[in-house]
Amino acid sequence: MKKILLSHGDGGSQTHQLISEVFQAAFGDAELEQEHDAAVLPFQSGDLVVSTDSFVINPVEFPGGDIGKLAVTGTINDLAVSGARPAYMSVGFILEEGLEMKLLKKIVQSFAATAKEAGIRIVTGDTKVVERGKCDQLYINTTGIGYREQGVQLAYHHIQPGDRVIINGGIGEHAAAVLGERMGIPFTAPITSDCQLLHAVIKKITEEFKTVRFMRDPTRGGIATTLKEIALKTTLNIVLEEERIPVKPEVRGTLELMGLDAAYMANEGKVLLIAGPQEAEALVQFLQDIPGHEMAAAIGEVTEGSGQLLLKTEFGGTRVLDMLSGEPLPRIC
Amino acid sequence: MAKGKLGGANTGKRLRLDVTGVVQGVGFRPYIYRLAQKNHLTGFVLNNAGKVSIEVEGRKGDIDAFYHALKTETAAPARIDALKGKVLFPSGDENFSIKQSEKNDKAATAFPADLAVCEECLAEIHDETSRYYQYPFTSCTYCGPRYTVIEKLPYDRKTTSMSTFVLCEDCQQVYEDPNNRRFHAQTIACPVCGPQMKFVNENGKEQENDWLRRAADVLGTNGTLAVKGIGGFHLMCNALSKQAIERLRKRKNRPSKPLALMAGDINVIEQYFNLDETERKALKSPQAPIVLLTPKQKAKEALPLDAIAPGLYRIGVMMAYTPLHHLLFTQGPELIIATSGNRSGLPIAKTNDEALTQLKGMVEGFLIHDRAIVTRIDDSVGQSMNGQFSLIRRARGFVPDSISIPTSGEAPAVLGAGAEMKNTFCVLDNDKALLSQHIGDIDSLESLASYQERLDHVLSLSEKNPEVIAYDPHPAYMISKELTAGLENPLPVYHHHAHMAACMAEHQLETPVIGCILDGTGYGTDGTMWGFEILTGDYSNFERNVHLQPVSLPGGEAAIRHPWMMAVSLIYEAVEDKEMASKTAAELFTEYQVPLVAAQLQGSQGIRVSSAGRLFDAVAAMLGLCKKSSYEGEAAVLLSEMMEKQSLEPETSDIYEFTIAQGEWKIDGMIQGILADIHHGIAKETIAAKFHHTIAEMVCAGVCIAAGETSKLPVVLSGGVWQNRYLVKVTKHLLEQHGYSEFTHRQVPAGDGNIALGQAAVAKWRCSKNNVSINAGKGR
Ligand SMILES: [Fe+3]
Ligand SMILES: [Mg+2]
Ligand SMILES: [Zn+2]
Ligand SMILES: [Zn+2]
Repeated sequence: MKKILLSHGDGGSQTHQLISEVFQAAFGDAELEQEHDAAVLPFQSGDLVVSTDSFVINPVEFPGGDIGKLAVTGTINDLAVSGARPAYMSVGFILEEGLEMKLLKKIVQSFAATAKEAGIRIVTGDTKVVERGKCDQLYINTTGIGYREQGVQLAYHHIQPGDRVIINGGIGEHAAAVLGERMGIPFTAPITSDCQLLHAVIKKITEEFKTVRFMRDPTRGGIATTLKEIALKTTLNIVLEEERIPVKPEVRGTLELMGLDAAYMANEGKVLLIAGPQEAEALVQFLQDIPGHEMAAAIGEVTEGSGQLLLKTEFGGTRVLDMLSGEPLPRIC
Repeated sequence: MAKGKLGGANTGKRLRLDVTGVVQGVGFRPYIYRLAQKNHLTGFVLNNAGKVSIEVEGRKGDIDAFYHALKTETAAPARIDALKGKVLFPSGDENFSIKQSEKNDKAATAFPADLAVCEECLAEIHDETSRYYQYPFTSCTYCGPRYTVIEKLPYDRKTTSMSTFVLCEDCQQVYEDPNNRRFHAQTIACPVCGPQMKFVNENGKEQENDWLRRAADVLGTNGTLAVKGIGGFHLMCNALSKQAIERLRKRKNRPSKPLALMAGDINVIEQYFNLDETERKALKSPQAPIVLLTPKQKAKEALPLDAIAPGLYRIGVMMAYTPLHHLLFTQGPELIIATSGNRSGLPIAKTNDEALTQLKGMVEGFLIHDRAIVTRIDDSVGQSMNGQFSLIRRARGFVPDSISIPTSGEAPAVLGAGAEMKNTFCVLDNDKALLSQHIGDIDSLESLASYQERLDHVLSLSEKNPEVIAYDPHPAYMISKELTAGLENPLPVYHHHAHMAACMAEHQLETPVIGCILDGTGYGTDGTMWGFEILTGDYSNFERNVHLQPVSLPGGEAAIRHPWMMAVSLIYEAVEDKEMASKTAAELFTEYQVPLVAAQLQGSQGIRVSSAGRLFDAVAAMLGLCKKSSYEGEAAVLLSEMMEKQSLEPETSDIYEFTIAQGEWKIDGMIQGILADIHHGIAKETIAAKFHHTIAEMVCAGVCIAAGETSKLPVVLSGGVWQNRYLVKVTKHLLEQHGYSEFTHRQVPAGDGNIALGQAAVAKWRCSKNNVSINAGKGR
């Protein structure tokens, strides 16, 4: 069969065929093959950490990744920045009638390969098919389960004035790649999404560096939204230095012409770390030595304040960054 | 007052005169004193509630002579706007005196603007035998800093930043001598008692002695010098050296924004530039603004014009206006670059500390001194337009002179908050509008703080506490948010209504007008961005009669920074066949990512604008004049400068096609015409001229529609596009042919520097008791 039919979701023989030929073949987990209504899993020590996310993206394939890879990295990274070691994952697929079987297989395999790389098990899943037009090709929901060892302390209230804000690489790459693909723009310098797993890097960081107070992955809304949330939660100010924020030149150029600010653009392989000043430099160095994180940089500082996010521009002026609301109207007359 | 004997020698007639105008801080009272002495009159003069009151007593012939001299001989910087006379009974005064100001009159007392150094003071600093020889702070009643040194009123030495310098015996003597021109001059000083100049080297180290030679050394070796002036620091370098200018540009991160020149001698300016009477008068005036001048052959040969003002034809030139500047020319080059001393995005440096930190690494030396600058002020800029000097940036020398505007009945004092870019604010009480100095773009917390600092200064000086705040309802304006936060009833005034009202106010128009508002982008009543509008209305209300067909603004502000993007947008709008449009755009802008813009034009709704500024941008980009803009308005300025260079008479050009339907100018035909002309290799100059004439015809056609068949309302031209002299000339010509009388800005800039004035005028009229039609002035 070349395309997904409504009958692939009716629970009958075609559903079973789809599950065994596409999903089980790719995921290959013993627990999944039991086909129980629920997965029964051994419990390890520490705290249980759970995170869920739904993935809706157009186009489903983009330079540097696809929705399958994204559905794994997104949830794993959420667990990782919470200080957890990811262990298990559930997955739900919603498929649009008429979806190319070939594309589905490709995405599921990408999903499985990323899960394998992450060292996690896919332990339970679900598939539904909806009528043509009721969804856009396919949606994926994933829930990740991990363990956090006792003693890991990552919380807003650990953040103190003087702490540094560090990022592990250039911003805006995922958004620029996806927008470029969506608009069918032939880039002179190719832009790829930064979509990647972060848990291994984060594990090393938490082992090596003891003053990491807090981590977040700046996905939707970008670093500005994430840091503004941190500022509001802590009622401290965060002061960014524009010239230190890493952005690949081709990403900056593309976003600028679209009137978009890289600071508000989604990332899928980035982590913002808030760490004590004494370790900041070493932490940046540590990151820069890991392939794929060469552009890591300390981009700002936490100061006493009232929950504001401030940007020191290259020329020394200070701008207030807020949550994004709607399309910015030009102020230039 | 000493009671004289009845029937004494001086008794005869007594006349009281109340004088308003520029009469305080300009040596007016000493002048009256001398005039009274000369005519053998007794009586007194005093500052009184914003006016100067004079009572003179003596023989009728002497009083007549006094009155005649007052009316005809009063010289700048003093200026009499109104003289009210009243005959009194003689009271027998024995002498003439300058009386102390009455204590409670300070609220209404106007405070004077800064004045360029006068001829006499200048002669003294060059005279080796004078005690003011080479003294950079020499001043007198006719010249010197005023507004920038006054901390509070009444204006007196102890309320200025000169208060720390106690007059020496010699200075005290001249201060008290009615026949000396330093009599009662508050800012006088000499090398013994006054402020001292210091040279600080690039490492922040103070150098002993020889500040002038050291400064000249920096200028002589292509270095950059930071110089503390009247309202802030300048960065200066040798204007004849391309290398020096390029160095300064690099350091200031200012690749192509024009730089101003300063000269110590009007004859030098005359050698390099053409001067008409208006320009000469402006240059030599006590306001000493920067004047845009066209170069003579000598300038083209000897000056690196393309480094001074890349792509522009005219150059901004000013006269040295302090003794310090004049002294620099005694040892330095005959023309010096003088640009504001700030890092881009920050307000002009004011204190020594600010300069030493902010400008470090940009200069080889600093000239600093210990007289504090109380409020920042930039140099004013203007141009000669139809024989009148017309301001582009209103600041030093002009502020705080108030602008008289019509009012309708009693209303509370109002504050116009101003626009976000090229900001000024305006305090309006009764019929006197105090428009602040150019503050600039409010785009950082620092510029917002600098706004607040200057607002506080003006409010404390004028002792006004505005009850109503008028603001631009643009949802992203920081300044609007800041000033209206927590207010119950701030008064929104739409951007283009404010422009129209500003021009009405400047010309004291009270009846309804037709407003031709051509500017960049302002927030309109329908939530879209406006900028090419024919409005009708008055202070209270307006209606939008005709506007440019809206086009997409791809990437929002990106399209303003990249005029080529605006061109692509217009090409896509005008060229039916999209493949053809792509091809045309790609050919014009080979070096840019046209598909990225095209994709945006096809896709989303995006922001739409009906803006003259953006149209000028797009045409400048199509002509290859400016594809990427490095400063605000660059593309439009380059296009208008192209017309300056051609110096055409206004009847000489064809026009492109346009139509008007349902209140919209459609310009697809014009864009197609321009593209065809480019394609056929027609000269850029010809296309630019045709374009200008088309805009003028569009405006005139729009005015006729707005006016209907019956009325010939006055026409006001406002918005930054009207700084374009050629466009004004052609439009004026057309409107007059159609029987309209038109008004352009002179005292205030045509651009967003006038928004605050318009806001204040609108607010005042809407709030005044006699005005029945108080409602939100929404367009249709
Ligand atoms: Fe405007
Ligand atoms: Mg997430
Ligand atoms: Zn003088
Ligand atoms: Zn002295």
